[in-house]
Amino acid sequence: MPNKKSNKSFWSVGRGGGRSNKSHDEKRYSGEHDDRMGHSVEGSKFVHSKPRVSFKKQNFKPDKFRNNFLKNIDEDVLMSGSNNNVARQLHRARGKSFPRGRNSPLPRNDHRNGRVPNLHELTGWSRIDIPYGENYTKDFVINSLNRFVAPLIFNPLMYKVEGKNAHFYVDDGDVAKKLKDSNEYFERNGHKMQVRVKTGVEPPVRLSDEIKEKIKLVLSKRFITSTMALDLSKFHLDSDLVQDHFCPLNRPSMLDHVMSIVAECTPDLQALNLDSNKLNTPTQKGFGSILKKFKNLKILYLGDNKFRDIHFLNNLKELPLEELRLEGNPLCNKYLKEEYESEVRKLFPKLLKLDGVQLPPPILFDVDDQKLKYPPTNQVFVVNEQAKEIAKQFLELYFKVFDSGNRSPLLDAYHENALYSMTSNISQGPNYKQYITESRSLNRVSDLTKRRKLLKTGKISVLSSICELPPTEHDLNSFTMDVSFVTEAMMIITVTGLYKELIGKISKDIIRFFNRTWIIVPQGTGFCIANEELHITYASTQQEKKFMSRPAAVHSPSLAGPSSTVSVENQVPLSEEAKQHMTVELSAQTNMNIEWSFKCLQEVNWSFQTAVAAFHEASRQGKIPQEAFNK
Amino acid sequence: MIDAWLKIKKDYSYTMDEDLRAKSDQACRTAEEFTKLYYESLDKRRYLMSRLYMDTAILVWNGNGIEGKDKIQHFWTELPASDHTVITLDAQPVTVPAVANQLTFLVKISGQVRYHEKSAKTFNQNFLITALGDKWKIVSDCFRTQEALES
Repeated sequence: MPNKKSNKSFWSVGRGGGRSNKSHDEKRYSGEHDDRMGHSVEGSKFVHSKPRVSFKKQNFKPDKFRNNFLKNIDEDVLMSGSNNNVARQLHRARGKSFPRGRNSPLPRNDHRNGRVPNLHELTGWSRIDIPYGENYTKDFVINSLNRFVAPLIFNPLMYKVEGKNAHFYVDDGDVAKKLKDSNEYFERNGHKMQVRVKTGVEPPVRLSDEIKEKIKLVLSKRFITSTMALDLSKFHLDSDLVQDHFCPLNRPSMLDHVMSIVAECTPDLQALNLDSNKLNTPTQKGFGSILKKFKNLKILYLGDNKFRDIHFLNNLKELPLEELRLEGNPLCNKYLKEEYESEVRKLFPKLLKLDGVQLPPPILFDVDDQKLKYPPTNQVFVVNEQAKEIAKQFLELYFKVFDSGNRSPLLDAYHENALYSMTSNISQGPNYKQYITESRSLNRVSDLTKRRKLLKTGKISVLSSICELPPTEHDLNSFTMDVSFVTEAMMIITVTGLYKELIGKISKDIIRFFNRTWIIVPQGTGFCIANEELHITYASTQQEKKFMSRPAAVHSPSLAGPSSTVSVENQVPLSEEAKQHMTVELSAQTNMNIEWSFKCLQEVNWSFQTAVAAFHEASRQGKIPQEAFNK
Repeated sequence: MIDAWLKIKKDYSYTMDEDLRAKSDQACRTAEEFTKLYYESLDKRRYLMSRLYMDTAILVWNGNGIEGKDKIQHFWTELPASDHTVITLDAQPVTVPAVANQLTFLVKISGQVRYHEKSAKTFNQNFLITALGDKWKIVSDCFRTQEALES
């Protein structure tokens, strides 16, 4: 049971500034035990007025009292980092249970009616004015006040003498409160120094170039290269900043600025200490995304801040944290010790140390970390080195002719009884109909007759299909080549890559991805294709980007060695046999007789595509005489 | 001369002989069954994969060659779990002299594959399969995902 006398003396001391004797945080918690005292009437003297102090038992709810009391103790003790505060807290808490008397002259405090303390009050910056401060040295003022607030300690921010007066700021609400009581103390002890306290007042934050430079220096001073650690604790009190600059990390703009410098200079930071920076969740919305950048961060200190909810850590789940300090934040009081540990562990399963205490090692399931292990992609595989040159030359020649505008010479690349078929899943955009109708995908085409029809048999038929494919420009740099099977008698070559489908001058060219499998067999002195299966599909967005950004040279093949034996286009001589085949094929397609088909092909220098195009053009204009169709 | 051409035209107009037609139809049927079995095994019963290969078979996976069915089995076992979806499928009979006495098909597949929970990739795969006694076996298996190469 508190004794009345001691309470009275407490009150009498408290009269000066005692109305705001509780921190604003406490007020939030204190609820019914609020003493309803105002805190804004600065400098009024209530020393002589004797308020009626009564102990209203009915208002005293021990449980609640205890909870609030503990909360306050925990919070304040941890925040100020000194156990000496317990006595003070106890004392003050006791005082709290004495409500303001009904006839008290004190103004009713409004926050009981739902007023929410503003941010400045929560963050606890205060301005201290010393009238006639010019008469004292800074050391004298600070030392005197520090003696008074002991065992609290404070470090003055931006101590300035302006005119006759001096002023500075403190970052600790408890210190500010205590300082409000100092006038009477000084008076009693014969000092003339006056102290004016304005809580919830902070200097403006300016990010001038000068300050930015200063911050960089401070950051490099606080960085330890050997451990990749950065100590930003009590940043605003840094000896290089405190005199002239206000750099509170609880301001989002300041935190953002500082952390982006850090991210830029040391993205592989391993340890970060943000203790005692008044950080709190509402103002630190971007907090997670700022810290997330440090992928190697193993140690993170966030102690003695104002975080009220553990969920702000959700954003940091990805970090490989091994050590975390959170003590001294209001959130710690929300949980029992075991709960607290397990809540934190949920977020960081591999955490080894929390608030300086070694955690029992986590027991995890013996799974393979779910890391996907793929062998790296190789652009070329050849089961047999000797086959490599053959395959390279073969495909290089093939695609040169294929892209040349006249694919007819490819006739000689195919075996007499060659088989060819194509599949595609292209179902929109230019030329899609052609792909769809020619696609022999067995899960789409179930009709046996159609399947047979789409399997092109014999070199003329194959060439005809090849010639009907849209004009192309292949990018050999994008090619892969697998020669998976090689014997004296046959070889399997699979080529994949990108090509540009040349649509015309107006519309944009399209990038396609193809995958071609050949079985080639020796013929004469060279090789020819016995089987060909072609698949054509859309290029992926990434492939398109790559294709667009490639150097202008189209044929700078990474696959092909020095271009040796191979020559291009028209230099590939067309055999008489090939000419005969083409003539027959043109005749079959156009219904012109053999003679006219021969003439037509001759005129266009044996380019089958050109011949077909020329026929259609002439036919459209009615220039083909009837005799061309006489057989 | 025109007569000669006409003769060629006649030869050419004949497209597929009986034998080739039969083989071609069989290639399609076999490929459909094979594909189903292959991807079911690969996605759900990997430990059985080696049964599908000849002893001397080769697997080429994104340019990495693995030779011999035991090594292939090991490779598949180590690879993250997969889920394949076939989009297009094609098959041809192989009639080159080298395999004249051996029923052999070339099978080509395109589709989507998903490893673990990662996003799907497009892949292409082709097989040379051959009848060994009364079983189909893979001679060559060549797989590639569709990707933008770093070059």
